[in-house]
Amino acid sequence: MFGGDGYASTIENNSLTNVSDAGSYANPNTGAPRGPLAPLNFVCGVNGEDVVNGWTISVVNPAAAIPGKIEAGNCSDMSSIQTETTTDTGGGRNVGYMDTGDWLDYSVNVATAGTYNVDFRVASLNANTQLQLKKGSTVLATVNVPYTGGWQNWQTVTVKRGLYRNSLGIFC
Amino acid sequence: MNRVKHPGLVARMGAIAALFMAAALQAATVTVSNVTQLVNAVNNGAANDVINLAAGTYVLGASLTPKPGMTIKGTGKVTTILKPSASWNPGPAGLPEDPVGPGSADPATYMFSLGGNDGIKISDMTLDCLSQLHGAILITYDGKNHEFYNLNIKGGLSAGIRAFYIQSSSIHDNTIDTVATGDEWRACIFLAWPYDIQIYNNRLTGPSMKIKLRQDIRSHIHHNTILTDNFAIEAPFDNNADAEYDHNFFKSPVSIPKMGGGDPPASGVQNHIHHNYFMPAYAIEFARDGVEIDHNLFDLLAAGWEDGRLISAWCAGDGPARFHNNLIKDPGYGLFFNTDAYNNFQFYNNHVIANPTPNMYTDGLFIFGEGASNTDVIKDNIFDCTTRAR
Repeated sequence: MFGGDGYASTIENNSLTNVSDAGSYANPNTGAPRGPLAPLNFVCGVNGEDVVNGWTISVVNPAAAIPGKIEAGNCSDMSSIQTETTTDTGGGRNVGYMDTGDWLDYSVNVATAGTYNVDFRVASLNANTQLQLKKGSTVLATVNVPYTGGWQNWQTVTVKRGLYRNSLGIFC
Repeated sequence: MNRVKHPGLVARMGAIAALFMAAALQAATVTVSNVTQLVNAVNNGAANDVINLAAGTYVLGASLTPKPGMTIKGTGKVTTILKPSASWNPGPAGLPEDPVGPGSADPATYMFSLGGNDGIKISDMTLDCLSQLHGAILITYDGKNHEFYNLNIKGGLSAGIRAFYIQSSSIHDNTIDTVATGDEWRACIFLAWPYDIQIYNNRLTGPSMKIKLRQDIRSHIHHNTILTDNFAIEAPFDNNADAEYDHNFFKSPVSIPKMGGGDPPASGVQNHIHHNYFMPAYAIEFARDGVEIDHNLFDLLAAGWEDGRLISAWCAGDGPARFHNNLIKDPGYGLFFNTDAYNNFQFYNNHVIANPTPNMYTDGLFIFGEGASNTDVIKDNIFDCTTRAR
């Protein structure tokens, strides 16, 4: 356990399993409790999104639950995207004014790893445009966005991809 | 007698004076929707004005200096965006190479330069420095009662938020990602001589250090998620006092070195680090006197930091340091290393599980430097070294 001048220390009442120099100090048993005096349970990170329960850590982050619906404007980060009021069913705001190279990031929490359909609600006056669904630098899917007849004429396009915990990006 | 003879006159004058005072204190609330209106509202507005920014992108040609007490509020991180024009591009020229004094930061290179004004709130927008500006918010001297929240700050060459002698202020619920690289004087949040600062619920990413502090007095840094390969917190200067770092998620180390860091304050604690989740094997850069580190989970998995010891130091100290009630899994090189003597180090009631790791050392979990005294204590711990002896 020790190198250097550590043997001058007070060493007592430790539980030592497979410690190479355990015979080099007395380590007397005092009967005091060993290890943490109470279970270690707490939350940490932004808004307590990570839960420490003893030796394990799990995520209860406010990321969008998958399966589920993500409003386009509820991204965690983006580049050169603007929002506007939408006339699509349900109202709210859509993201728009996208140019090549623009992107949006979403934090997601996928309950079970597997293959999911991803439905994109899209509208465009341009034909032959695409979106990419990415995890980090990996392209999970390329989505062809059709001409829909207007910037508020909405259609659904679907791709099928494996999803995992953490974040997804949409690139234009 | 005169007071009795003319009571009405006295009363009216008092009322008029009160009206004047009310007029002087009344703040305006304005909504702006383009950069010209924004600049005019800030430059020609009054103290305590509330300036609401409508959704949209505002392209700035120069730094803004809000009046004391101003509130500048957008509609959200995604919908209100401030960025510099192509011509406002100071670039890396003049980046500080030494953070010692307020003169080391150029106010003209920050999106908001608050000077020493107090009580300014900036919230609910993206401040995108586009790798052109040195940072988003600068307090050059002695500002207090500021609040910066719900901001997405990115692209700063030096810092997201930089301040000198900031007091009694809070920085919370932000995402900050600088592009700063290259030396130790860059950080997402860089505070020199801060007093009573709350930093919480921030998500900090990017290549630079995340939170850098010079002489940290009573800061409370909690519930942040700090994901970086650089230092999560670095407070390497003398005389920290009652600084508390808790409930954070750390992918990278917390650095509190300084040859002991001077005499501890009256409370005896320079730094209290508790209830955090640590990933780096090189977790605490030491040595400082008057430190308590307790109730943390050290689950030492972070790539890039798998080499190193949980507490690593290259300087002497007189302690005390109390390290207790922590769970520690898979220490890399070991638990404690110092080239010099550190006294009054107390390691107790911890549970250590040391599984074999690719870069594990077997020459001792604790390596005390030459001249270590008999004041160090290791007691009431559980050491489970699986497969290979440590």
